[in-house]
Amino acid sequence: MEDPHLPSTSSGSSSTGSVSSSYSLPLLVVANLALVVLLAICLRAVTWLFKRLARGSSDASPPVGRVCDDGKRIVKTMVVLGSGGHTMEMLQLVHQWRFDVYRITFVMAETDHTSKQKLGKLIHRTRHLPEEDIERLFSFRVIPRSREVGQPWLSSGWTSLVSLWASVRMVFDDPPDLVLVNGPGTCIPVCCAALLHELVCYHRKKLVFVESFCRVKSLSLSGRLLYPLADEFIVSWEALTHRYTRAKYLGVLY
Amino acid sequence: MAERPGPTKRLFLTVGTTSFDRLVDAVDQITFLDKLAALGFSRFIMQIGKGEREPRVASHAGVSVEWFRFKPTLDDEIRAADLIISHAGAGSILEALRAQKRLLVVINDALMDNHQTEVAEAMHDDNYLTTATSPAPDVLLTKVEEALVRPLDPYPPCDRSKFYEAIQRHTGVPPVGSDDTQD
Repeated sequence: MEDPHLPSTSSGSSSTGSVSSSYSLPLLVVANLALVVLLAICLRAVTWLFKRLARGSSDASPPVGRVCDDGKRIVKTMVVLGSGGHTMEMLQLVHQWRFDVYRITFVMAETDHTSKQKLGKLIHRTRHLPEEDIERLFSFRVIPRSREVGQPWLSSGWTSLVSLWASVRMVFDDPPDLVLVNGPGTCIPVCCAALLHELVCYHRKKLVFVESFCRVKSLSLSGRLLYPLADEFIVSWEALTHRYTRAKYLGVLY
Repeated sequence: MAERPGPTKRLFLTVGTTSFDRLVDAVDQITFLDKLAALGFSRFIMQIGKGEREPRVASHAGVSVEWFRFKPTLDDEIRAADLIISHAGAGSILEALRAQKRLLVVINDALMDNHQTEVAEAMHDDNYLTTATSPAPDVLLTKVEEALVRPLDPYPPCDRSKFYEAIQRHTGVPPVGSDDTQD
């Protein structure tokens, strides 16, 4: 009973084997390789995301930045300025920093004409440095605004892509160690680009979000988006920390 | 200053970078200026921004009224004022409180979903300032007196040391310090 079956099964398997090898072996290898690569990418993405999400709730991850040849520490910092109130709050937070250690790049939206002026005046008033020195002390980058107030959503999808692309080029061109944002629309593409750079290039970054003083009872849209991803999430009103347990209230900042 | 005879107080009204026509309309009234005179004011200065409603009364009951749209800085006006009436903008509120001034914040109830109202209300709950829930003339008449006499708590001074500590924890270097900040 078994004998007649054996040759038929063996011949059947060998014939299918020869068919596959003659037609699609290279294809199979390529497909397998692609699968392995894809799996590796997925694994990297998943582990990165897992680490990212876990980092926000603990301060255990080591500090970023690097030591130069002369022994000085450098922290490349990217600060996003928005418009009006956001800019004033952000400038208040950083105008007293040590600019020799913290090399700050200010990122501004294309339509923002006054932030640089405000920064110059503040530095002049509080640090007694000439207004013109801001060109020497900092670098400035301009990216297209992701969405004007009241812009329809259809066209805002396109402009968001444009500003995301500009942000990616900016971040990959000169990657920061520290990204400090306080919630203007422009900060979303910049943070996306910074996180993408961390994922792809293994360059660890610290993302610090400071929610605007205007948000008393709820988070801004940018805040809600970055809440799970930020290394440090700071709010200006203590009541918010009851609702958002990861958020920290660090006293009167302005 | 308190010993000097006659009314000497200054009132400064600011609407910020936008406009608040209903507020200007509510204070550009004989009844309001009478009230100011009774409270000891002699000067009333308004910053009306982009508003269409321009103040018409130049002087009444010993209160002189001046107005302008914008100035490069409002620091001098804020410093000289005994009472400030402001829109609910966070910037204007903080400027007045940092200058340790008595402040009446008038909420623009025509604006929907306005988060800035939350700041004014939270500050009111903490007893740092007085709020008026709308620019209605009768509301303002009672609120302007309340804002002038009500006992308030001083707004706490700004302290970023914990913020700087948080940054240091992430970078290993304090963001501010006694080291040279040049170069």
